[in-house]
Amino acid sequence: MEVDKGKGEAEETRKVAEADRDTVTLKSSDGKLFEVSKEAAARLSTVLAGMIAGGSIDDNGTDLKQIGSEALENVVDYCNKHANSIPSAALISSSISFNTAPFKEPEEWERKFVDRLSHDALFDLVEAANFLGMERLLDVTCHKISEMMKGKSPDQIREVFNIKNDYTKEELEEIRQELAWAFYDD
Amino acid sequence: MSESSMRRRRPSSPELAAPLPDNDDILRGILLRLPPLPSSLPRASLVCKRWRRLLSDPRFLRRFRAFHHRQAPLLGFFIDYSGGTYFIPTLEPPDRIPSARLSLDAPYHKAWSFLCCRHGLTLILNRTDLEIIVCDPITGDQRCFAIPPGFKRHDPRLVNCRGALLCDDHASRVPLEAFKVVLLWTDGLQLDTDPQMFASFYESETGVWSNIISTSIKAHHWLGKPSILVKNSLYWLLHGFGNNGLIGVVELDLDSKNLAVIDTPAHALSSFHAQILRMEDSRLGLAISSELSIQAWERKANYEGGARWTLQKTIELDKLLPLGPDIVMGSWMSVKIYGYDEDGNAIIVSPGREFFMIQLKSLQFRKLFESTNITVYHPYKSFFTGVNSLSFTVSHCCNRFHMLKLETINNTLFPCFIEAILFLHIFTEFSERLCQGSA
Repeated sequence: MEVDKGKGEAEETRKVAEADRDTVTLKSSDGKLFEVSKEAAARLSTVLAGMIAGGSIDDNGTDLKQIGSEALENVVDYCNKHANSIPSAALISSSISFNTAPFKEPEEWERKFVDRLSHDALFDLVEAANFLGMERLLDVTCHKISEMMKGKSPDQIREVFNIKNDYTKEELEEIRQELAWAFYDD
Repeated sequence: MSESSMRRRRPSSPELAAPLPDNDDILRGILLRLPPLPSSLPRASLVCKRWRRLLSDPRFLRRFRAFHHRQAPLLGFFIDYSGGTYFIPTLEPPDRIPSARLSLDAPYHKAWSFLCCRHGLTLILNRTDLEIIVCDPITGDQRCFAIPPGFKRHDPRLVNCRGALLCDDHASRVPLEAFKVVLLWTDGLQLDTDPQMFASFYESETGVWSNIISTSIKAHHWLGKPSILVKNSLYWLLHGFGNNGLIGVVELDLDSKNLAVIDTPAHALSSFHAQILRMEDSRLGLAISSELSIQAWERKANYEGGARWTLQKTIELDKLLPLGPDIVMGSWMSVKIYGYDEDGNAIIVSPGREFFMIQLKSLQFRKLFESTNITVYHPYKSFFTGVNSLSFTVSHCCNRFHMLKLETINNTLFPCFIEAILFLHIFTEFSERLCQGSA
């Protein structure tokens, strides 16, 4: 939910009793303001949880200079959608380590959430999720990117992700011969 | 993370695809979520050198295993081939790992028995050198250690020896790091009035065998098929010589280290007509085949503190599987059960040449392959993590210099040969006893 308020509205936001606020305001690298539920932010982002606990949240908008407005809008949107959805057992247990926890399939709404994004927006979002320590959002975005490789040859993967092939012809040939079975259908 | 590292390089031309974030943590997160199929990592490692560096890092491979914990794909089946392990791939290309890549031949003049495979490892008994070999066929890594003391080279008791391999079900552990081996044997060939069955346990962390435990088995029997793990007990089929069929089920409680023989609910012609099952809620089950049907029994606790078998379902294979008229007509031959996937609760059956895998709860089935080789088919599940940082080559890659097509292993000579050896031993011992008696 983008609030992107004018100056007057921002002034008004500041007037809200500071201690009682149940939202936090985040500021993107291009200066846009977004409001997100404090509870959802603290629950879904280890970085924001640390900032809230440490009192380093700025009510005028906490600067997130590393995140552009489009990615931040998606982050906030995800937090709000997450707050509104009934958390499943899979999501509750997803707080355990991102990289070692057994794989948990994305929920239907999470799948739809990332499916609508362009590649560029998806890659910006995965960076934002990584920066903010949002394990579940990282899980969902990485899963989506990983799915983009499904059934593709190394050549096709390079094309999808705009990756330069830095192998020599000989190196490629050597690898292909050693594990020929894995490239059977190329 | 610095501000600059968040800025992805944008494509110079709008036609070019957006590049991935220039961040190893994110790349690892993406690569970790590749499907755990054999071709996933080799293919991804061919994309660029950076990906290959990430994918060949042992820490990444450990995380890949942990991330897909309990979701190792069924790569195929191992069968005992002259004591060595012969791999039959069942996945479709490009995930079809060639047989020669995972099979392991017994060295010349060494008598091997392939005992079991579990958690991606294979367990082999070297009866010549009195050694246990635990092998990871994917990496080629092996651990060898002596069997419990008290056996001599080619000891006849080892011919009917059974073994089981157990690993901690801990996601972050690579199976070969910590495992347990159980060895089970009978004093079988002596004509004692009270024949015994023995078991001993080995732990890789301590490197020692436990004290031997034993139980009376009333008469001389064979231990059939590999063990099935149900809760914290291992079970084996116990069957008699000749036409005596199924006699009982051996239960080895791994907590109490107690060995016992329990009864069976119905008769089975041979160990190929019975299969121990791990039912839902981790209950002990037993499948018994007769003609073209399979009865699935479940052992349930009763009020008296004991347990009894109850018939859970009967599967009519002629109604379930697409069997040819020749099979249905020849149903007196009885369908054989060649193996069991204990994690997936699926049996491997064949009424003739065609082998099927049937999931016992859903009754979904798939055709595996055709074979006339009557032996136990050990389902093999593992991750292919054989991506090497310098080269993909794994030294043990081609340990079979002769490649055999499955269709060509078409006889039952090897089991017959073993039975003949055993019979010879019994006969010799019997003669010796007679001589001693008369002396």
